Amino acid sequence: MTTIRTPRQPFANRTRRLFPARTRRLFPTRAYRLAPAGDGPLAPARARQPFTTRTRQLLPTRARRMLATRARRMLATRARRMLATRARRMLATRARRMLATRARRMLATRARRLVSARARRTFANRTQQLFAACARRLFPTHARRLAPAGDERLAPTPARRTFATRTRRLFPTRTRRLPVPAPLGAVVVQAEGVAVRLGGRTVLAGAGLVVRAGEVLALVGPNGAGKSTLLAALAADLPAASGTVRLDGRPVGAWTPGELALRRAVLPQAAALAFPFTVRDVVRMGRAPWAGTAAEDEDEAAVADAMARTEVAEFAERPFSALSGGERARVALARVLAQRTGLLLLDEPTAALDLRHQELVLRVCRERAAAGDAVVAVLHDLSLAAAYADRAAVLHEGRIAAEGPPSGVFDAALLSRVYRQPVEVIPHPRTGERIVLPLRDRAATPDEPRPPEEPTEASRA
Amino acid sequence: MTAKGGRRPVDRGACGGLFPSPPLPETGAPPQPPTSGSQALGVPGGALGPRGRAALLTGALVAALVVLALLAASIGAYEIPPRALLGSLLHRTGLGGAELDRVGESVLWNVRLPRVVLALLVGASLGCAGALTQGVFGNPLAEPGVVGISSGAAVGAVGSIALGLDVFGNWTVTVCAFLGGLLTAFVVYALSRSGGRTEVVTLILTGIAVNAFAGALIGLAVFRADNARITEITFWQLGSLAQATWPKVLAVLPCAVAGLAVAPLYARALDLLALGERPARHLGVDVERLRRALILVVALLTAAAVAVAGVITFVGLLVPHLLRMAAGPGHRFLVPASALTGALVLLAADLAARTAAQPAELPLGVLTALVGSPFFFWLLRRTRRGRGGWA
Repeated sequence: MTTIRTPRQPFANRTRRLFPARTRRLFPTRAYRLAPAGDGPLAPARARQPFTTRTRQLLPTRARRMLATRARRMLATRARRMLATRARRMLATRARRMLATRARRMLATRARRLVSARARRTFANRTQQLFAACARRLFPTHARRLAPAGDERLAPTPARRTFATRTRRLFPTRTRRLPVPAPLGAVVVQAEGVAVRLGGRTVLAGAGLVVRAGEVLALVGPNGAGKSTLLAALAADLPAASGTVRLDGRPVGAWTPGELALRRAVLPQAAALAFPFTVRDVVRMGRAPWAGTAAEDEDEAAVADAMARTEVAEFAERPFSALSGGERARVALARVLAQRTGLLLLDEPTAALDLRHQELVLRVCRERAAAGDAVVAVLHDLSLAAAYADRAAVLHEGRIAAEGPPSGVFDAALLSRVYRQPVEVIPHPRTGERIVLPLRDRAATPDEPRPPEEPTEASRA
Repeated sequence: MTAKGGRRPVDRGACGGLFPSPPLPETGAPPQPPTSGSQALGVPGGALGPRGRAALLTGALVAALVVLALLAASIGAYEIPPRALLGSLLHRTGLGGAELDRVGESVLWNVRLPRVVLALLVGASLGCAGALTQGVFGNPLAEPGVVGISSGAAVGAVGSIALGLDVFGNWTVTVCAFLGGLLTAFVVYALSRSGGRTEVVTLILTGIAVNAFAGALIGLAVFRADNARITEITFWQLGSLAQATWPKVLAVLPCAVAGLAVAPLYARALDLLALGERPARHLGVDVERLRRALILVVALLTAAAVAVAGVITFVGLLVPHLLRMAAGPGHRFLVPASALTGALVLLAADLAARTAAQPAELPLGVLTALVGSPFFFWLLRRTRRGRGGWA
């Protein structure tokens, strides 16, 4: 009988032939199957004898022969087909891979010799983007795993690829969609008719706001007007009872917390810390959303840059509890800056800060806006808002009373009505900026008894 | 607290107009030595920096654990010299060595080693659970008992003793304690949910209410039980590792190993949770899911430990606090190190309980509280003086 060599046998035979002695020792009961060392191909007839002896005794000859032939033919065809497909596939994949590697290497060497380093890098970037685009079209269901078109240029190859970088590139964040930098003027976040109820009270009733990349938007208004609530709604902290908030084109409910963290950074009103971390640890926490992405490589640079901009590098190793209120606020801002998102939502960033640091914070906001981010800041100081904001929105009783450039919005009548305090808006004598000052003239408050008139120069003279 | 070394005087310039951009960080300035707990404690290696300190501590803990485990296995009513002990261990693993005599071998392998291993597992579970609880609640005073697990387990055990249940044979008390602990933790969690969210303060207050209720139930059980049962209840509540057997070790092993393996994965999220719930959510942490998962892990660890060893307080509170004072609040080091230190502390306590009042055995929970509280108080005073604040 011919040996039916199933696909697994060749390997087994080879091993058995190579190490018959060892196999014999390990599997003594099967040793009779093994050829003694140095023999030719295995002798299958010996292995088959017991079965044929038994069948010869049990079945008549012809039936036996029939069965044998049929079985042989069936097995032969099946085995042949299986072997053929498997071998073909194996060979095909192997050949393909070999060819691919060889071709790639050849091209790479040739390309390397012909092309300069920078061009090579751009070529690599572009090829990878092209592959990503093709793969995205070919496998649309898996497209979400791939970076969307126009993703951040791959970080320039570091001088030495570390093991960590290589491993990280092997297992990129699988389920998070990385953000796409928006062009200047594009809408980053947009609220339409947002209403928020807190504790039975309607804090926001139909507020609509559009925030674009590259601009600083100041949210101003009296206490309880809903500024922080609007900011929280934009940040997807509070669910909107009605209306929608869209971030990067999708409703905020469609993003996971991890994806939201890559797109927007929020500075809370109060900076508290439960455990005694150092300032550097706190700022480094801002880089947490980027863990597992390629941007993790620039963690140290981002932290150092953020600490430098907010002038907290001097007490980088101090515990957070040993800082004053203003320093804590600056450290929180450094954490928010280190997050490097396209949208910054700052809730009263200048509340606890002195004059120098108020100016510093708003200058930082302007720099980020100039770099292409969108900044929304809740401010109480109207002159500061007028000086630094591109656009301002005045909130009054849960609605937006006015919105637009500060020169148009900061109108004495409107502000007096909204704040229930008479204000006057005067232009700066030198720069022409708007300065908003409360009217402290006694004559303007009729309910107070008039003080005795001071002798004027005319009456004295 | 005003060490501001290395700040070079920057020329701010006169009033002239706009300021230049802020100065770059002083690259030449030496890094400030951390003024957190390690200096207050006077721990050697305080100038090493946080990473070096953590590595040093881990090494020291592991070494101390190995040494103490060998000591605990050899010291006791039946003295086994350490050399013979090592020989017996090697013999069992097939690497040479020699067996002990029959009595010694039996004592070592059927009495001592199960007790040592159980102390390790229970201590590690309690330490790790303590670190996780403090991280979840954002409070260094939190303890696994806050969520009602210990008292629920006590109610389960006491109930089964008082009612004289015998459903699972010798395992009845253990199983009832385990189920009671888990049930109470989930009841506390479910009761403190509102609108799909769980506030920390609501969780703690609900835990207090449930603890009080459980205490009342235990009091009722004691009131209705006869003397023998009362003795059993009391001694179960005080905690002990006396009847440690290999089946008991195998009973606590799955929960302990599962909890200990999963806990370090949450280290980074716990660090972010220290900023507050909202900022942590802004940084991408799914706070609700994290809290649910961690309460489950803490419930598993603590219920398993309490079911097998009785109510042992203070380990979950003291150990993470100590480590935080020594090596900073980073959870990547804190969670595994709490497990190691908890195992160490419980092993030492068990050794002391066995040997301090021979031939009687002190209850373990009593010993940990007795020795732990003054030590903790002394530590608090020392750190408070050195640090001036807690947060």
